[in-house]
Amino acid sequence: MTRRVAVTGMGIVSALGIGLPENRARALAGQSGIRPVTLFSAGRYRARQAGEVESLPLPPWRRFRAERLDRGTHLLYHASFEALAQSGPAAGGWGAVPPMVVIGTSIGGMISGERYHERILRDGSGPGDAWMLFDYLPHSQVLHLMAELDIAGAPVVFADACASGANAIGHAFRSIRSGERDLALAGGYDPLSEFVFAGFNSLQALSPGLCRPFDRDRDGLVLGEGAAVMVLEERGRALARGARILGEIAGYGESCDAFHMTRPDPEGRGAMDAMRMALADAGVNAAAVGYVNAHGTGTPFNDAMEAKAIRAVFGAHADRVPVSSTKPMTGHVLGGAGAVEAVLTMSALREGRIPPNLNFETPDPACPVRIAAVGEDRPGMEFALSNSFGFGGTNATLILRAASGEDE
Amino acid sequence: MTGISVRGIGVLTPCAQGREAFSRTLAEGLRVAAPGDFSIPEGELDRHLSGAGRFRRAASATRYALAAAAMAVADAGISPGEVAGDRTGLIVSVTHGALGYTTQFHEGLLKEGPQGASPLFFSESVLNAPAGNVSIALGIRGPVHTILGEEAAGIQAIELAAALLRSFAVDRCFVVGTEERGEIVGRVYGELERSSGLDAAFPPGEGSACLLLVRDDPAADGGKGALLFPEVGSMGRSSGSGAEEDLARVIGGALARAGLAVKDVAHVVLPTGHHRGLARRVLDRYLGAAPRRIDLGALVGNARGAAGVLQTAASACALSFAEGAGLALCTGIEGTAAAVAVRPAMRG
Repeated sequence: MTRRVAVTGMGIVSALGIGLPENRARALAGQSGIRPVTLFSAGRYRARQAGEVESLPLPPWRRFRAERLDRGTHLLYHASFEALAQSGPAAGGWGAVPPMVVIGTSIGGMISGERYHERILRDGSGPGDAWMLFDYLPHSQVLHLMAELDIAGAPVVFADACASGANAIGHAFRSIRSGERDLALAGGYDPLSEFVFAGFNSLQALSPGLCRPFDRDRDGLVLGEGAAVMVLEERGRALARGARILGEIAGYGESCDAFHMTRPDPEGRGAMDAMRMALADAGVNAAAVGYVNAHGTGTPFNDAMEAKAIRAVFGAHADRVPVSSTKPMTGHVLGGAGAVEAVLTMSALREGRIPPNLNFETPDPACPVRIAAVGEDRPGMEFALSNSFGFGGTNATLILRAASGEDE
Repeated sequence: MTGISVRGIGVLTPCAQGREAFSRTLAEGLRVAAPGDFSIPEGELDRHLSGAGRFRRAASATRYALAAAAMAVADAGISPGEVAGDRTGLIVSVTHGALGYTTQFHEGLLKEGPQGASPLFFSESVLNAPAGNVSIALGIRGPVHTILGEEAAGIQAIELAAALLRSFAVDRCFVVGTEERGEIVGRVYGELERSSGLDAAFPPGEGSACLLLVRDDPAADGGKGALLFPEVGSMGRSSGSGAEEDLARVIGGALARAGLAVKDVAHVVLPTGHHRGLARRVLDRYLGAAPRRIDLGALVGNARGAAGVLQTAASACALSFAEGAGLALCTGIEGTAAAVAVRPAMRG
């Protein structure tokens, strides 16, 4: 019998707020968290706003000096501890087999790296500066989290650009469904750094105005930061311990464009492959999908490609299924985007309401899908699909399933 | 458990390039001409890099990966076209990746402002740039991932590839470990090591190794080649056991997966990173003095994210001159441990 993979905890930090209740409420109400950048001086850039997490508190780390850790590590801490508190799997300790920890990131502790590099260019450096490197390497944040949680074992850290978080959840999902593991902490994170802001600026990919995915006048993305983590658990195990099941991960598909390092294949073949694979993996038809959470960056190339791929996969159902991108509200969280969007998509399923695709005003004939420009009540949705596509041509699609009545 | 078979090997190291030269170097125990200089020799890269012009501006870590992958395809005796498509996967392991381009991009930003920040340096500095470029070069449209970590990341990559093969998600999977060195790399790790108080690893090395893996199918390859059985764990991070006990468990796990007894192990490829003293103690206690020790770090330095794949390639190559099975062991500065049991595929 196929093992099912339940979501028993979710944690999220984004520009919409710290914690699931605030993120859920604001996303479903269509409120934007985009604001002028304060983490560094953005005055010299054409784009000057992003989805910053406002007033991020320093977590109460037990094992580390909080002020020496990277902002990314703090983001990951908040999301992970919230998810675990909701799930409660460690009430009696982790047991003989620790949970699998699978996390995606694209830049890890880059802010710490920037500070170190700036210091050595300016002043040279001595051993006293080594602490700046303590949290630079992009797998360090996960190791610090595991140490704080007393979780033994080796983490799996994916760096698949903007598909990192979705691939982390997908990998954990597969590992549980196959019977290799029973419990996993999976998600993704990325902080906002000037390095990345300048990078996307150099590629002319940042919008100086609003992020407006699928709109005819879209002109680029708006960066964000954040983290989201899910506690994934074999469903029978979760039910046996009386855990509340929030929903399920039902399918996962992955592919690669093999086309270009920073541009998607305009034909969308890789995106189609990922979506078709995920639907087949979940054993559902496209017509059963009640909502598509698009990658929807707001760049001309991505959105046209993604819309074409959705149309090809969903056929006539593409005229009916609502599609929205939540990036105009959160900004593009890069390595954390897939996880942030999985949590928001699960929230949409649970609440029976679709978050709007903000700033969508003028339809684009090159994007032939039904964009949910305003939030929609859609009670009774069973399945939703979430896309994540990244640099290097990497594509990931998750199929999420609502909890059944008996699970609640 | 289904064995995972090595169909092709590509190796680009400071001491030898290509499977044959690498095997010969391991067998003869040759040292590099200038010990301590663990850089890829000038001119060697382009000789092994097909379509070099197309990727001439890519970062060194990417170019090394491209060269190793091309060598693995050639070693497997197949054409590049045969690996294109969605039934092929690619898993790349790195620690810091293109740190040279990363620092050049940042230096341009600091000194000249946004106009000094090169889009090339940015796009080629992302951690999955080696994976993206190898997938483009070979037309790989199946699962493509980059795994981050220290020396054990390469064995984690092998483990992920094995899972994809066993689940029939792919028919073949490339595993590439790649890393580049430079002044900033030495400086960063030097400071990290001084502050950690750990025993020193070998000096930073660079290069790449690639394994082309398939499900074990004696009918397809005549039962030749190497079978891999990876095991990944950690050392000293659980409250119930010590680092030595944990490392012994990882070694035992790999051997058990391979169906091997301690007496079957004829060679061990030693870690190139930290905790080498610990690893030697555990190996002496667990395997005794008999297995031949291959100290790869003395030949190639510590190529961090590339180390696990490089060590596994070394063990697979060693099957040609050391009777019996082998073991590659990785220990990372962060306390991750991984082992791969490598045994000949020859039946009967």
